[in-house]
Amino acid sequence: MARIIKVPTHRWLKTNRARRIGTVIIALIILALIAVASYAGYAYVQAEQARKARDAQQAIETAYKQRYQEAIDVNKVAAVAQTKAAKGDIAGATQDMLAAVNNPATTKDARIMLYELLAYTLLNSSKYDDAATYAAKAEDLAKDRKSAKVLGDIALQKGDKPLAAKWYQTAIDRFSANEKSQMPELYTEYMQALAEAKK
Amino acid sequence: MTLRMRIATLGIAALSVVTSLLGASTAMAVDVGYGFYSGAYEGTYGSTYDLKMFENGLYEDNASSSKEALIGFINKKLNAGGKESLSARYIVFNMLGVAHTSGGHTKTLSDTQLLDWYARIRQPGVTIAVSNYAATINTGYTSRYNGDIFAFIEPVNAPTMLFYYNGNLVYAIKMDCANPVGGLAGLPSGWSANGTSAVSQATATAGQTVTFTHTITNTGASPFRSLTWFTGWAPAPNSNTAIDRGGVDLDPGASKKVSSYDFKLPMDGKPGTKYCQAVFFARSDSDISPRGTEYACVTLMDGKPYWDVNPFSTVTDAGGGAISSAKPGDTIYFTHTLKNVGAKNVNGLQYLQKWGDGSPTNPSDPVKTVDMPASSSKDVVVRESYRIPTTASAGSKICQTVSNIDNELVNAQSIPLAQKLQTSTPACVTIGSVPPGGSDQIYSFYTGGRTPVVPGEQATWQHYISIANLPSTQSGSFDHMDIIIHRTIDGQDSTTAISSSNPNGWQNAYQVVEDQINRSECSWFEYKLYTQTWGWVSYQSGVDTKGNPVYSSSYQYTGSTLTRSGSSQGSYGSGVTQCVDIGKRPKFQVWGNDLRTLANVQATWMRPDGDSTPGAPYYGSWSEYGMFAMGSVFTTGNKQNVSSGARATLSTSDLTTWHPLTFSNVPSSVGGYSMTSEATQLDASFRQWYDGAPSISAVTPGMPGGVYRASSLNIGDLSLGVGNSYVIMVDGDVTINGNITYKTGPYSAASLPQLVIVASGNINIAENVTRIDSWLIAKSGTLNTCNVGGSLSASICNKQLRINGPVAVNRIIMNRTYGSDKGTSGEPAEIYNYSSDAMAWLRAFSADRGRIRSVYTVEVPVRY
Repeated sequence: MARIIKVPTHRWLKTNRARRIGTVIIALIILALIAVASYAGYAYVQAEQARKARDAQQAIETAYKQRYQEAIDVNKVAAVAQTKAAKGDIAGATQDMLAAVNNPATTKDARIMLYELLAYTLLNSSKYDDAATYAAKAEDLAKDRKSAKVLGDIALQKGDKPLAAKWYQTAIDRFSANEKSQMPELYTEYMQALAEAKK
Repeated sequence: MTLRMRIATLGIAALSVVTSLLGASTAMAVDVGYGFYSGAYEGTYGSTYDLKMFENGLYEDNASSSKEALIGFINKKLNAGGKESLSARYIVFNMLGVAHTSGGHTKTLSDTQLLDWYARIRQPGVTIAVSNYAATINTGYTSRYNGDIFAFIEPVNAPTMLFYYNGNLVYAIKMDCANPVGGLAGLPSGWSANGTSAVSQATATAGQTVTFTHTITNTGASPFRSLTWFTGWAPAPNSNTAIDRGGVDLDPGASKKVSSYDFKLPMDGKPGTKYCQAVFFARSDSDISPRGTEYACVTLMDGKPYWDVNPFSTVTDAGGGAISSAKPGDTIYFTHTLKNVGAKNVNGLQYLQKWGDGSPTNPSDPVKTVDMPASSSKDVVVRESYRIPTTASAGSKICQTVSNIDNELVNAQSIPLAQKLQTSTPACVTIGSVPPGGSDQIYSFYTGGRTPVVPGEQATWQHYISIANLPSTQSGSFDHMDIIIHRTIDGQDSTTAISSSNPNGWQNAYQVVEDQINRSECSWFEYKLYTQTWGWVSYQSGVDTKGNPVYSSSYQYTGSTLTRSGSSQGSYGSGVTQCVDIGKRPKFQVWGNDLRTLANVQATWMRPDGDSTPGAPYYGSWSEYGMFAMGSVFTTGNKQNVSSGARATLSTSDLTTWHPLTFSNVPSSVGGYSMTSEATQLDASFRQWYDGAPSISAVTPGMPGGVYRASSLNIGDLSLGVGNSYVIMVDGDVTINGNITYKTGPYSAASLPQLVIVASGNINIAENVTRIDSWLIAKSGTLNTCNVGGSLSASICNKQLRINGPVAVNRIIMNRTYGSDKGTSGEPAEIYNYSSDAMAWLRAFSADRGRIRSVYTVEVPVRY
């Protein structure tokens, strides 16, 4: 019996060592595969994130450029209109700006800018009420710090400091956290405008 | 043809046409929507954003008060460095309409761009104002990305400096920060230039060479520095395919030929192909408004002759009879015929009558035009009379031809056709031959070839006699003829008798003119025909037996009488008196320097003393060293072969052939160089000391040496010595009534006497003046070397004038007649001597005054 046992034990021992070695090798291979797969997955995720970030950035830049081009066009119309207004042709200036506003191709952002510039144009010609009317239209469409700032500027110019303070405060409240951190100088300007209105 | 602009060439930013959302198509040249230098945009400027370009905006230096104030302010900021320099560059770039360049925060502003900006700002059409202005585009500075200017969308309404061009708002800068607002296009180009492109011929055949030339003119008020240009073939050349390129500096109003290009038309070209070139130019590579010329084109013609007009010419007498000879004074008739013997119509044929070689005149007949249908075989006949001048030389020919000329005809496909240029065989008459038969022919004429003749020069007349219907010499007929040639000078007659047994032929009369000028020398002749006389003449034929003489008679020649037998015409005749004027042809000499002129040089020459030996020398006018003429040089020499002495002479080749020290532009094949006015340059050199110079009314040797000015100046006899060094700038005319001389030395260079006269008007020299030791400069005036009214003569202005000093004037009138007398006619009336003391003095003079252009020019006196 003992003999019987010895022989198998020796074989078993040999077989078991081989199995252990094989197991280790297999485990190592599996681990390597897992590592490779993990790295590949990680790299894929990273690349995907980078691609999405690039796409997002590109989309932002593209959108910005498009928006900027709109702004260019708006400002060209405003430049002509203000030249007319400076010569006393306020009606003509208003008509030009409103024609652009009412052009079906004009986007919402462009209309907001046109109203804001029309409001300033009329303000510079001391047409306070008309200026306020068109500034309000911009505010209705935008409801952002810019449109509020325009209303504040008109009120201040008209001499209604409380109203101006109200709109400046509204504009300041509409500053986002990013805007505050990224445009401190601009934020300071708004704050100074508010301080002026409160004097 | 329209003016072609090639916007995309030269690397020039193209105008981008934007379709506006507002329904308008507008040209947008300013791209400020994005970071101008580095790529920053509204979402990336981060916390390092600084709104202001300049801390005090345009309030600093009152920068918005005028165009020049703004220019000065921006110039200051450009040199300030850092953010301010960057911002100033941005404003200039932006106003020029230069597009943004990502990654280029160090983008430099070239001098050309800055000049361009000045020009744009200073345009009369640009006006400025300051008022409230509203915009939704603002700009700002960020220190990120190594510093950038970026634009962002933000409503703004504030005092703004506004720029209008012809009433339209084109640019806006916010006052408190100097930030450009509104995204406007900027100032239009303020430079103005145009150009021309030309080609030497509009049509050519395969293998012919034509030349394209391109010229650019600055038509604006600002100078160009390194104006960029290139030439190219049509269509659509660009800088990469430029044939030629370069840069050119052009002051306002200046023109310059920038390129000349020889082009050989290809042998395998298709007839009708046009080869066109133009030149394009721009202020800089980033200029948004380059200019171009109209294309100059040469068209490759069909090389085959198209038509044949078979021109031929004849010459006849008044009756239409063909002649081959005529005499002076005769009227002859040329008849020219063009006949279309081709198979096709010839429309618009242009033709020209031409004088043949050797004809006494070479008039420019107008070009005539005719249509010649093939079907009618239309002939064009032109008849023209011509009277042979009495001065026509015997033996010479007078010829005329007719030819079609190089006018453009096209075939049915509008392709230009090469022409068969045809010229008729010349129709000629020979002068001097007398037609056979008829009446006596007698005439005289002067054959010297040049009038007037000068004293000492040989003049030649020819007298021709042809006696008609004389019987042969025999009993009772013609014996001989006496020819008496008369020479008359102002009525004083001298004669030469020639006896001839042959009446028909030429008799030459050579006369060496020896008298003074302003006279007339003439020659005429008379002839006398003698007839033999015969008679019975007794003579002792012997003696008879008684010793007495025995007489016989015979019919024999007994002499001659002034009669003419065998003809109803008389025995005596005379020719017409032919005269020439005796005159002085002026001669001058330039010693010690070159003769330079922006026009032609043409003087006179002569053979002295009747010496007609081939190769014998001439004497005339010459320049010792070089001779430079923008035009041509005739009968004036360099002193390369002159003999010594006042009657220096020139060989035949000096007068008629090219010489290494003679530079001219005619013929054009050896020319092509240019010069500028020495007088203008010298005037400018001395003019720098005009301001502050003391004013004088006369020149006296007691004056301290220095620079003076005068409103006008009369100078009598003047002798200058040590230290008498005067530069006198005269705002008017100068009259020199006496000799100006420098005393005999010794001198040092610093103590040399010298008189420099720089006149804005004329310089007039009196008749009695014989020597002037002085500089004479009159950039726009005339130097009159003998200022007398009326006509010149041998006794007026007959003193030799010698000017020792540089002469640079706009015009010289050489009025001196010295040399009119016998024995002096070879001597120059005027000598211009560039003496070395002028150079030595000028070196010393300019040592502490700055350089004068010609001071240190050293010309090595090479003589060939």
